[in-house]
Amino acid sequence: MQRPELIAEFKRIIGPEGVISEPEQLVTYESDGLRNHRVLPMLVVLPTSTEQVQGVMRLCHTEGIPVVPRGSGTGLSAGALPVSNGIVLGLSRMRGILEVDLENARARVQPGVLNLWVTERVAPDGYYFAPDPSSQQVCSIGGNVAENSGGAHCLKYGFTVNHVVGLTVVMSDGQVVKLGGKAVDKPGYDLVGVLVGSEGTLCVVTEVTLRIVRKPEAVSTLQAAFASPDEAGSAVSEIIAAGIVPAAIEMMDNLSIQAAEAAVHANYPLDAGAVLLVELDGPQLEVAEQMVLVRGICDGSGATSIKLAQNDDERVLMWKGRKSAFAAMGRISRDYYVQDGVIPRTALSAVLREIGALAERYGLRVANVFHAGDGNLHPLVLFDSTMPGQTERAEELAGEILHVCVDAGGSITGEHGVGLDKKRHMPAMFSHNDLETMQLLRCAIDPSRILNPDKIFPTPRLCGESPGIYKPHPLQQAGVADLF
Amino acid sequence: MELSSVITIMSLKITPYTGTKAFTRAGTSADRVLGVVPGIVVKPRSLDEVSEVLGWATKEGLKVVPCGSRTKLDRGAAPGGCDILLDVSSLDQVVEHAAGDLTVTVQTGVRLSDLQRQLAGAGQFLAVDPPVPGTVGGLIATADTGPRRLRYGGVRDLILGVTFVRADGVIAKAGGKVVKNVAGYDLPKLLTGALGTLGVVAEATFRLYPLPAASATVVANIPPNELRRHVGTILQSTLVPTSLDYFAQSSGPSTLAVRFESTQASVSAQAKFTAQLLGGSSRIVTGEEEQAVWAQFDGISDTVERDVLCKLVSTVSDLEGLLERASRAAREAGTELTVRAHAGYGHALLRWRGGTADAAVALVQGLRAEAEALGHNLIVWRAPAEVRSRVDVWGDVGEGLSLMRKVKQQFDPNGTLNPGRFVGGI
Amino acid sequence: MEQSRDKEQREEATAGYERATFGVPAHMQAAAEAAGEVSVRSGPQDIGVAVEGSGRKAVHAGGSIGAPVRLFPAFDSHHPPSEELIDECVHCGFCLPTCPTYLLWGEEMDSPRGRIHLMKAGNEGRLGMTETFVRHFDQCLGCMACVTACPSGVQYNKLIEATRSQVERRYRRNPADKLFRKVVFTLFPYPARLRLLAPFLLLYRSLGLQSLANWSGLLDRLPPRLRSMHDLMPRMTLKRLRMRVPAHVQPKGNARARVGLLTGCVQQVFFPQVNAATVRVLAAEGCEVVAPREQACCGALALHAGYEEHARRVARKLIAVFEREELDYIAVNAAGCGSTMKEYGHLLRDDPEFAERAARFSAKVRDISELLVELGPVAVRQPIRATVAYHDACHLAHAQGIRYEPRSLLQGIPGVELVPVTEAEICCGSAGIYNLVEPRPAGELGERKARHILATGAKVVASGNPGCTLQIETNARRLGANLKVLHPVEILDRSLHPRRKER
Repeated sequence: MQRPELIAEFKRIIGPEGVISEPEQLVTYESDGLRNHRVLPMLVVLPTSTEQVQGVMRLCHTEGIPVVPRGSGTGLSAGALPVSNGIVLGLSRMRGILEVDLENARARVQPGVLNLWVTERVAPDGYYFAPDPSSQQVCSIGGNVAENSGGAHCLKYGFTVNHVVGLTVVMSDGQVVKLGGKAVDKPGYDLVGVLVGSEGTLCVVTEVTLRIVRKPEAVSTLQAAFASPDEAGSAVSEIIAAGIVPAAIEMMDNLSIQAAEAAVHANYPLDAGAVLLVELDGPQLEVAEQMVLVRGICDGSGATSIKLAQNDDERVLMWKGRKSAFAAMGRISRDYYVQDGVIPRTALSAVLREIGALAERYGLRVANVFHAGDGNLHPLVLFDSTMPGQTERAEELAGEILHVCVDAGGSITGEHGVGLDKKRHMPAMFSHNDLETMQLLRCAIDPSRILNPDKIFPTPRLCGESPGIYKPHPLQQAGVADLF
Repeated sequence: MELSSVITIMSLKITPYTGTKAFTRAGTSADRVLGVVPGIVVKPRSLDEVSEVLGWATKEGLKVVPCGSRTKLDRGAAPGGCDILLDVSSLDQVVEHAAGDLTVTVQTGVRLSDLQRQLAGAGQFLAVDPPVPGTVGGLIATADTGPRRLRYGGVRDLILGVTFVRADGVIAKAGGKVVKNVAGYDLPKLLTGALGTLGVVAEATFRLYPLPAASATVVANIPPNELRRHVGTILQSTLVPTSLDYFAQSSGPSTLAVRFESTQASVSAQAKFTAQLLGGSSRIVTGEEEQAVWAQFDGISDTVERDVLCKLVSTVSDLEGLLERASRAAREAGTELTVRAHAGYGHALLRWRGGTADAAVALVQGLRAEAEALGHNLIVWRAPAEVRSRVDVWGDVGEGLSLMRKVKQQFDPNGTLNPGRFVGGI
Repeated sequence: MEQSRDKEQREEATAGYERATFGVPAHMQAAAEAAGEVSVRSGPQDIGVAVEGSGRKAVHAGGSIGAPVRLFPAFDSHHPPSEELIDECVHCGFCLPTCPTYLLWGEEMDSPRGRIHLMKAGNEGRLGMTETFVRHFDQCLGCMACVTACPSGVQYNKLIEATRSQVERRYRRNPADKLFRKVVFTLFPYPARLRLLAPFLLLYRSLGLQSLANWSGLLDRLPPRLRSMHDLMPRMTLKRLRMRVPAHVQPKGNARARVGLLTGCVQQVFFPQVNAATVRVLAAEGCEVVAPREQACCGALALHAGYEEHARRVARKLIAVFEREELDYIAVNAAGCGSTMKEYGHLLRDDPEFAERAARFSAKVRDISELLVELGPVAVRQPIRATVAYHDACHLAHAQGIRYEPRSLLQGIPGVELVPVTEAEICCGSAGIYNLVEPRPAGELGERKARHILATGAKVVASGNPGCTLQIETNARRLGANLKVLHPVEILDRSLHPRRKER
């Protein structure tokens, strides 16, 4: 089918208002949250129901058109980067909260619902949705599911995958499948568990059953400043060693403090080498007792100032600085590149030193924002794209930082996903066999490979009939493609 | 062909292949897996040996049943063949306990009780408490959970990474060793609860939790028709119980037990408040008395020969209704029913004792029909052969089955691993 | 020592714990004691956001990708949207959920991030100034909620202003559109012309022509823009028609400040009671009030619509008029006017004669609520029993950052209870002339706002901008509800002068 017929066909499926085809409109979809990658899609479609998504997938399957699902477009791994001969399937119009079931602590929502809307909806009843990516006011649940998003409070409460119990998905051939439900641990393969975090490469999610969490009786947040990240790091280790599981422990280094201050005036001490935010929640007595311990540990580790939030406003302000830190980098640098490595938290000091040395070698500044409790490091490589060669150097430095993380026993991504941006680093973490094995899943679920192609895996696997026993693929025989 | 000659042939075949390192012997009736006697029993001592055995088996079209301490070999349907019983209990090393990072990497032949003992030395634990003892491998294969799932989540929520052997012998790893990681597909979750049908997990990394300083349990006798109300009240409060269980027998009172594990002061305050909330008969137990309460609850999985033990997977809101129907049916059939429910998350174990096979089949099918009508599941864990032969142990697992079959087809196209034992005949 | 301090702290922290209720709702505690029925709230409830029928015009398909037809480049070199300001956008998307059009349609090109991306593509020469290109800027309400939301500090206000100027200067609109805009701009910024129109509105209503028009089905056949204009017509009374603010009013008691008052265009003609109340309140609070007769429009409507030259012209006049008086402050009771007057410095930055005078003028400009809070209360407030929903006008909240002051003013009145409105940061759809030129999205936003306000149960709404007032009243009426929308200063006036008869 040619483009005009395709447009007509899509309009038939989802109505004229849901098909975007003019260049002046398509151009706004050429990047997601990571703007250094740009690809103009052939079309953008914005369905409003599972049936419409099904219709779109059927057509694309028949026509062999690649499909890139997209939520709010805030991803930082170019996971929603379009493919030029494919469509973008935007889920931003599917934003209904379909059901709230307090007794079972579940909410059933469409994928375009924003993360924060769930909490706003259930907050009057004393509940909230625990995964809280920094972008929670704008990122969609569908995007959270695709990326298995985390956030500051994942240390205690887990990631998106720990809060998704059911999915309605549309497969690449248009089949609609309901998986899981309100109950946990249903018999059979945990497809919900593996589809969460599959970055839109296996299916399109059109309905999500979430676990919501009772708001704790007490929340207490402490802000401690230290002369350097080393001391802050040792405070973190001691807190963990004391048997405390904080709701969150966040660390920001001096550059991040400066940027956040410039953006939201969170009252962080500007001269501190590192600021630690420690939040405890739970029964009031437990929180109170443990906060005394935490305070003592921070004192003992050489904190230069300690402040305990006295009310909700102060607490919100402490967090506001942290949550705006990425975007606030625009205040101190023309461009920046967010990295998302994970290290065992005990390796923090060593890794930070190595990053510092690398930054010096590259002649670039690196700011660090760190989910210190779970070892998720966000080095922000600051650069100026108008300076010749700096963009490339920044990307190279960012890549080297990931290798430092992997060498320390960590991961190349803790919450942003692999997407297009990081697939080249996958071999640092996984062997050829590991990657091939993961792709067995893809061959099982989307053998046509039209869903978000070219993401996650550096070398796509062609799906033969039986992967266990080697058979050359027809394309390979024709000399069109290499198997590995 | 006589069984003995098959064994001989296979023993001869495997010897040159696995060398002398892997311990190999003929299967006996003591090795039975749900009535199927394995051809041979192989006990590899390394990851590479597991790989060799599996690769060879798939090439030869042999069927393999993996096992550890064999405490859950009665789970699932009878395998459609068992040429090799692959015993990984020799892979029993704790590879790395990173106490500062709250993670542990273990080989899957390690017994859970041994692991917990070692972790407790550092004031930590793997936050699982399955009803049946066994190895870490068995834990992953069955994804069994106990009362503490309420607070800590299931096995899927605690597993971080795996190294496993595919049916074709290829060794692969997925996930990682850090608590946070989204690189690549989350195969550890796919393998959790897959009953060894997609690969043999040889090594796994878990996140750990600090052992709580204190524990107390509030025990109250409640009428069965007040279960839902009490559970609702506690769950919708800001109390943080680690367990919220319910125990009932055909004769005798039904009991609600609410456990708190935290700092001493917090445990006392929460327990005291809960006792007030539950009123009347409630009392707070600690120490040995507390252990005794939970031991009584755990007794549900002590079955005698003709008992039928089932797991009900439902929700907090539907549990009371389903249990009520189950006990009414049992009363009418004259069968003794014991129930242990993880009422805080909607699961339950049910044990029927002392009825005919016909009655057992009717009870299972009756309750299953009710559960499935609500979108829930009833899974047969243990039952006499004549009951098993007349009911599908798994029941309807829903729309996902076709996808599950496709997954199995890719990971194990020859049907080497645990054939027919899993849901839908996978 | 250390330990004992710890213990003390711990005891302190845990004092009063005996009374803890662990968040168990009262009804559950009671229920737990007396076995009653299960009263757990649950069950499905749909709060889905309507998307279908969102009134967005269908997009035209068929433009071939990669080779857009370039009638002419998107921007010329006279103040195009600044590349530097554009680069401050890091594409994080935090602006999306606060953008009214994104909320309605969920489309990237109708979001601030998308519009900035379009500007960038325009600057790069990748796009021309085509109908579609212009359309997405036309659809922007200019509410500046995105400016509030942006963590990177992108100055979208400057970007959209620059873009609109380019559009109005260089884009050839179709004749009907052009004519309509011309009518609007021939009318609104001129109080004298509006005043000529007002008696006709009064007649139309009092003779029952409105119901006739309604009954005959004539209204339904009006083009959407005219229909919108009709619906938004203010309700005139003979008394209001005659009401005018005196040019000079002495303060009660000692003078604390000499304050100039912008009487405005729409405010002056359609809401003279707001100006009257403003003068009374200022006088009561010890201000000498000067309202120069010669003053005309401030240029806000023109500037927001992209008629920059026109805006500069009227700005110069207004500055000159107020310069004739010795003033401490210039008070404004219309949010849109205030925000524009505070930006005169930027508007006239290239004018050597006026640049500095404009900056000096802007420094004196205060919203009325801002000024009253700054001066502090002296007059005695009499109680008013009322539940009031305060509506944040975009040009107060987002453009001027004024959220606290009007609320504090209202809360200073004994008996007034302020209730929060859901989606307070989202525009009501009025947005200058937006509800006239883009009636459909404006109508949807207006209805959405009216619903949120009605949900609070408040019978009185406080709004600091005449456009919002009309928009909210109209949409509440469409929903069959009667909302009294008052300027905060009117409510304050009633508290200060409780015995004044209804005006």
